[in-house]
Amino acid sequence: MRIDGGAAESGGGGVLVGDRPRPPRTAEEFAEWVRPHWPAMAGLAARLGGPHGEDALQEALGAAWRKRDQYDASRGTPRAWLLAVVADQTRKAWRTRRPEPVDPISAEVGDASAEDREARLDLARALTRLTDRQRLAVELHHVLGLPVAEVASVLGCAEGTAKSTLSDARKRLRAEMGEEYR
Amino acid sequence: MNAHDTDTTGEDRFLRLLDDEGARWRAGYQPPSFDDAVRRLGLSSEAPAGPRVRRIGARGRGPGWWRPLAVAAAVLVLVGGAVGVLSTARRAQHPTPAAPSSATTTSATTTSTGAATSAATATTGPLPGLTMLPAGFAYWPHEVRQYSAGSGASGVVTSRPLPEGEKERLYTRGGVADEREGIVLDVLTPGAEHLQPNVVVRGRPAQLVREACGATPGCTRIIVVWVEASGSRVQVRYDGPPAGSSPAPLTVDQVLTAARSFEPHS
Repeated sequence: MRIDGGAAESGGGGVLVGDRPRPPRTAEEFAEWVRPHWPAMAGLAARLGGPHGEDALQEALGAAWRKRDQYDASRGTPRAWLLAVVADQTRKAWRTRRPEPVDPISAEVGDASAEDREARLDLARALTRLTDRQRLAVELHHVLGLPVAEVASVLGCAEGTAKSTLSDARKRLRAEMGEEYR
Repeated sequence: MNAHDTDTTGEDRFLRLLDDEGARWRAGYQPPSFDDAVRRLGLSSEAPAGPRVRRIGARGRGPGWWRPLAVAAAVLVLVGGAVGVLSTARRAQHPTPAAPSSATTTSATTTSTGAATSAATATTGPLPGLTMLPAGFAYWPHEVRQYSAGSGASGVVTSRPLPEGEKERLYTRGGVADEREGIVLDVLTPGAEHLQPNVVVRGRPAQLVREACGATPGCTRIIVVWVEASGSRVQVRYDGPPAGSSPAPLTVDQVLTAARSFEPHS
């Protein structure tokens, strides 16, 4: 899966009209606008939404289509905007469906050593104990590999605040995981 | 350098675990088909960007269709509450002189006292209709049969007293006895006087009488009587401010104003 490349690196902008980017208007424009960021959107929805991730992802796509004129290129990349929509929809799914705590790693530890397996399960459990915002920051930065600046854009805060959120999240994760990680 | 090869602090180990986990996940995750998702969405190129406008009653209402209704209901409740509070405040600022806290009670069978507006104090301009009389007033309704002046009334045959101190005159008309005159007010109390000869209440001729309140020294009673177009006789009586209250007695004009604004059947 390629999440942090391609059109995401084109920085800000929607559909270029002259020199000025504008939100996509037609379905075709919208599809081409979203397609490069789809893996990141899907990945975030799967990480945050667990079993309901795909539903949240579909709802996020619909929400992005309806709200596409609200995209402001001066405030962030399309990817950051789309990921923020996904995060919002996932939060709504949490509120309405209240899934079991997401354990995204435990299903994929078959070929790992016993020690690795245990560490990853510890991490998965610790991730579920973060606040929504901390969890989102960690998933965006450490799992999806977004730079801190873009994490800040998704969170809707300053870069320094995003760094602080990440730091707090890691501190809490270490505390949750026990002595050997402190 | 591979971070896994070095024995580092717990923090480094934690970061390495976190980043490895992310890398492993990114490598293994397969996103669902974007084209399928777009197809499921059923995008239409004609779909407008910008604020959506939905016709009231349009089919396929979204899950939030009730929100505008809820907002409208909340606004109505708030506005209604505010109007009620303002109305109460205005009433408190301009109390009716004839509306002290304690109501006069009488032995009349149908007596309405209590609610009041500023109508009793107003002498000019349109008046709000009183549906209940202020404290200090009393009201007796009677059903009467009326006939016009040219209907053949031939004079008093007899009269009988009524409980409120009036007399009912019985006339004959066209040979048929026991027809009652439209307005009969014979005040039995000595000293009663008709105050104005041509009083009109809502277009109907009325009588305006003042008399002493009987045993109560200094008390003056004012009575207004008329017959509504429906045939109901209305008698409004003002006995002065209730005992123990301080406001000055209403003037005759004020009582007449209150009586004119009183519509017991509204």
